[in-house]
Amino acid sequence: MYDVAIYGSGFAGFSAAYAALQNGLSVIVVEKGPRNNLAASVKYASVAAPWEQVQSGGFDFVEPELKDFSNVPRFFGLGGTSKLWAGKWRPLDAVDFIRRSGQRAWPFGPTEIEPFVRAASDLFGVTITPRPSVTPLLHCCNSVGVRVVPIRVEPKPTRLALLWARLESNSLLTVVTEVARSNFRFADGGIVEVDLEKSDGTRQDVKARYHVVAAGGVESARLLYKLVSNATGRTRTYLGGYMDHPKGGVGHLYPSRNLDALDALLDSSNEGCLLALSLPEEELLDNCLGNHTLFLWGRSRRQLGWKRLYRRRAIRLNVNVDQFPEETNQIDLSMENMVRWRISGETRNNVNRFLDRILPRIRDLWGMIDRASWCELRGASHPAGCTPFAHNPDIFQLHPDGRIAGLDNAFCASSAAFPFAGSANPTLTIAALGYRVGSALTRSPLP
Amino acid sequence: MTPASPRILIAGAGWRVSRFVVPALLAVGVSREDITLLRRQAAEASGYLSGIQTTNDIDRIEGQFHLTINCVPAPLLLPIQLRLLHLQPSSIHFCDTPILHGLLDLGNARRAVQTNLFSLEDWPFMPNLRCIWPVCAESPNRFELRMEHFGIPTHFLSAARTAFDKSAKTGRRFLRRKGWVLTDLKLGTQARCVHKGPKQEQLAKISMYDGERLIEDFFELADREELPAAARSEEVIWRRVDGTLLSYYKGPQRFHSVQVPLEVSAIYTSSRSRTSIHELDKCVALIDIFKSALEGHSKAYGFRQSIEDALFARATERFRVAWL
Repeated sequence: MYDVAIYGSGFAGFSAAYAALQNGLSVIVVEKGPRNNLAASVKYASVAAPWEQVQSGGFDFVEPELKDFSNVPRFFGLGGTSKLWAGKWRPLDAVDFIRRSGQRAWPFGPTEIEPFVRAASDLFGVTITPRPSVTPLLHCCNSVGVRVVPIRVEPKPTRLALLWARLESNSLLTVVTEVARSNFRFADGGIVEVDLEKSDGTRQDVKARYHVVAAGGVESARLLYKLVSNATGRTRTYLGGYMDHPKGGVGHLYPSRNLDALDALLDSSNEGCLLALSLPEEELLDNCLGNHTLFLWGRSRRQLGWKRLYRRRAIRLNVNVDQFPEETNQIDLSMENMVRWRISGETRNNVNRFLDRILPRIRDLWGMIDRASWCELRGASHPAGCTPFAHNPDIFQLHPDGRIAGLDNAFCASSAAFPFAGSANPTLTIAALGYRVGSALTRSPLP
Repeated sequence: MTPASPRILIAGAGWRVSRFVVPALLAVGVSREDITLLRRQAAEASGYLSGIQTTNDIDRIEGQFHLTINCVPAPLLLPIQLRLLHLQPSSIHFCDTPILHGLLDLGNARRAVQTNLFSLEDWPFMPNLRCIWPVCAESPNRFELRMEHFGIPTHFLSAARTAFDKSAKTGRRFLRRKGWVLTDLKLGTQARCVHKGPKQEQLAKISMYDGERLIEDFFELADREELPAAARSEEVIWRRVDGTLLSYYKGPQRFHSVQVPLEVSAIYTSSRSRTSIHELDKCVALIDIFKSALEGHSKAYGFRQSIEDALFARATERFRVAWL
């Protein structure tokens, strides 16, 4: 009998396990994928996303045939999606927690999650502080109404498989990988037992007091739905509200003034802190704009060296989109591994309105902009939002503490619970959700 | 009014004939006995073309045909077309889009232009584009029509020409090629049509955006019973095949229906790949073209326009830019 069973071994699962172990609880981590087999992981993880191209950026696959892993918006294997993660750390912004639409809204504010964000930052050794050299840039941007968003970029992204190996030295932790199927048994409004069927055919019965679903944006939603439909008998063919952070080029900047500030921005990514640009949070809320962020990709004068004497410098402008939830973007429950997701006209209009506002300010700051007539967006493998914190009796209800209504001892800590996807790369918030759930679990009964 | 048993002459017996032309003719009620194939080999045609009489001598063809359809390989296309125009002066002629390699080809193509000669270009008549044309008309200055990951630029240019014609704006066009992206701009407006390569089946799609409205076609086909996810989105084009009835929808709304015999639709619907569904659209377009020709009011794409498309596709290949 374990105290906690955690399904998924990504950032949320790791943080939840760490926090629960800190509380002296025994933990079993259940992972669908293998420990060390990338080819098998990709095979398990591939999702048919037939409408839009999905591409992730931060993989470190060794095998050349695995370089092309489009349509893999998740990852199975010890360490979860951290295997294909680019190492960008950032919590959601305050505006992401304030936003509401219909029944969707974060049930708590940024101040309530802040201690867990700090705990997750400490756990992974992340500090998001721009260097003093960018202070003139911040003043510059503030003066024209542009918000600078710092994002921590690890030169060598954290791969959780290593951290799990260290954590496994704790005798209270058990990690089970290659679990092909989990069959849950319910009684008295909760999960009493799980029958784990491994891919080699062996079986293991696990009893745990608490169950935490932390299996990423796609698999968590499927698993949560499975739990709720088994417990309540409700059936659906899809889960709507799937979100991603589509990204793509919006044009080029040809800088001609404030070059020191621009170079500070471009150099900062090499110093471990990527600086993205956005609009002030109040302006986003007042105009119903998503928390989109603009990234400037190019070389600073220092990086260009003597080439700057003859080459006209063009800085690529990329946008990362905060996609709002739409019922037509969905995980298809009737088919295995099918996500029907697209970038709608409404999302495009929202992005265009954002660009209409921010690009003139960038132009005022740095110089001429050649804006593309069409923004070529593609998915970024940041699945979120199909089983959100929201009161939706048709599907299920996820309480503010992460508990699943109708299942007293089951919790969710995943981007699947995001009511809004918010700004791109919210890894710290995902880890904080895991930490929050894990630290709330104790030996004494929960209220 | 379609003739009782129209005589059809098809020059060529390649893939385009067996996969598109003959199925489309069968779909408009033409029987195999009414068709004559002009091909190099005298042997009887096999496969889907079996049962169709064959000849390999253009001079021994007797009598007048209602339609001639020329799909021979590119080097022979224009010489054969000129012969057909000479031998069958009162027929309605259809000719594939030529590939122009030099001035001689261009001269031959120009000589062939006549009022009873049309292009076999089917893209402007694809039924999935029917709900896109009204957007071109409503937003003539700012629409962007994108055809992504398809193969041949002349098909795209014919669709772009149609889009600009529908927007009822006169003026010159400027073609620009940059890598795999061919952009067709209507000068004086922000309207543009974009062809993005390379050919890649899984990513092929057609989209239209006018700054507010977005329409996308991912080449989805559903059966009678299915309610596809596309039906929930008012921006997505999809198809439903219900027996012989093929219907086109944008979200929940049906905007076009056509009868396609099971024998014909089965060629394309056995696989749900985007290529197969795109081919089904092309076949339906050909059905439309042949039907109107047999009824005496041909509404096909002009051969003169087809030559221009071929010329400017060639120009952008070589010089990257061209004026139209």
